[in-house]
Amino acid sequence: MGMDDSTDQGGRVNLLQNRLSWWLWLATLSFGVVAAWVVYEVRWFYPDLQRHFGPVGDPQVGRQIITRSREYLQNGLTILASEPLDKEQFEDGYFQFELAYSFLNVGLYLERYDCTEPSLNQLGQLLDRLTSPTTTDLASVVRTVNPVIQCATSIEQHQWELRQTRALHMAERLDRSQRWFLTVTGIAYSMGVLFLVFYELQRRRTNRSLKSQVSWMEKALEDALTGAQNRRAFDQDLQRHFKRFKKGGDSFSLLMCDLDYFKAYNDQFGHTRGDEALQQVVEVITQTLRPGDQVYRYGGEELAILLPNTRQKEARPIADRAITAVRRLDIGNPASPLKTLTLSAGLATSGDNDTTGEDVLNRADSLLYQVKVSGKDAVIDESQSE
Amino acid sequence: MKTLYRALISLSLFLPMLAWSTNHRDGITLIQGTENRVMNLEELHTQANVSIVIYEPFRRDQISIQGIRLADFVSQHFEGTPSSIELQAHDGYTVVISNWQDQNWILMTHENDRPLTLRTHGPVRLVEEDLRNRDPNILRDFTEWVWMIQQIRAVE
Repeated sequence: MGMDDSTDQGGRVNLLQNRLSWWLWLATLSFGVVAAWVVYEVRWFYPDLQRHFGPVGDPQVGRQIITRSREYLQNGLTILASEPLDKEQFEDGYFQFELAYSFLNVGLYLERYDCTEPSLNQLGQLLDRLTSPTTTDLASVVRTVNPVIQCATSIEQHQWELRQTRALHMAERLDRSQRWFLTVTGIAYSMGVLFLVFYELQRRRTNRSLKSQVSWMEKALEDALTGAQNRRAFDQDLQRHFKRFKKGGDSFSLLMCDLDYFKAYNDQFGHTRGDEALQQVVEVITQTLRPGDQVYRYGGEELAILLPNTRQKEARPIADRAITAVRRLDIGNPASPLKTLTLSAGLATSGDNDTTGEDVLNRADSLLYQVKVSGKDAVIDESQSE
Repeated sequence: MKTLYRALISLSLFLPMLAWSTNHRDGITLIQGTENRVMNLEELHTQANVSIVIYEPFRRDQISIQGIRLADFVSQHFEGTPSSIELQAHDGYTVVISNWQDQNWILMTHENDRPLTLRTHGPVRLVEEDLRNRDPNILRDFTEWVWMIQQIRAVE
């Protein structure tokens, strides 16, 4: 039953830990969506807007090409209307018309606006006339240029309308994009927070399960009657200490103890009193030990005490203290020659010839047997061994 | 009186015409540091060693062009390696090209076998051989193309 419970408990903890990482992944994914959308908005969408409508830096670029054409036509007319008109002014006016021609001579305008080609022809003829010796008066220049200005203005207006339409379209797109941005990031952010809350709840549940598992495992290694560690814990700890010793660690000592005439005590006073006496013995022995030393209920009235990093010389006084402490409890036991409950113990220390922890255990057990047959209420260590 | 007035205006236009010549815009000015010189168009035309067909977004058509690569032009006419090249158009429009060594830039002198004039965005125009994934319908992507170049300056 113990093993099954342990397996169930371990499986449950693993399941909880898996769920824990899932919630964290989902939260990360949600925040990742928020971050990705922000990057998209900043890196792709706004530059796209800038490309169409943003400031380009040079005011010449910011204006439409056709606007420049129209302005050069008007400038040219203004300059040619100056009085008196000197050579430099004439050249400048002519130059303004040439620039106007150049800026009107654009594929987009020629393709889309019917007035462009005739306007270019008229402007070209005017420029030719201006450089020929034929007389051209200002009125004739104005008559030629006016329709060209009208054409340029109509193109300009239409281009502005197109630009406005595009701007409206972009504004709608921006509005839609912002709504999407707010919706998606809002949902993703909320989900991220929600997943984090789930993650936190799951983390707490997992911690509780882990604590419960640890507590359960501790209980599984504890003797329910005396509160000392049980036989299973002893076997594990003996192996652990022996392995450490074999890897070059310090020696450890093992004290195998047995309550003298305890069966008779039980027979006379009943098992309840026997249990109480056992509890008292364990408690008083524990008080004589150092931090790190451990008492185990090996079975029935047998106790084992593991003394880590302790050679025989240091273990002996500890063993003597334990024997004395039990005797001083002064629990009456008519079956004992001393009329009180006493303890016998065999003390063995790990050595280089030992191949397993059981070797130490067997020696301690053998020494305990020697005490039992030689009068009880005492400790025998390996230096006293026959 | 009205006739006399018209005659006077006509005369005022005609007199400057007689003195008109276009030779003041027949060359481009090259500037490096404090030195500058005017390179006439005939000299520029003789250096046109590139003859290719490109798509011209402002013409909305394929055109055959002749010209000289900007990198070659700079190495032939300027000393050292300028950090950038500033091109100024007759209308004052100015563009600074820092990646002038890119072989994509071409100083165009002829369009469909005819020398460029002011009316055809000349006498020299800066274009690119490869549009490099740009949409030719979005003319704002071609603001570095310079028409009517009148001055080229090496920026140190």
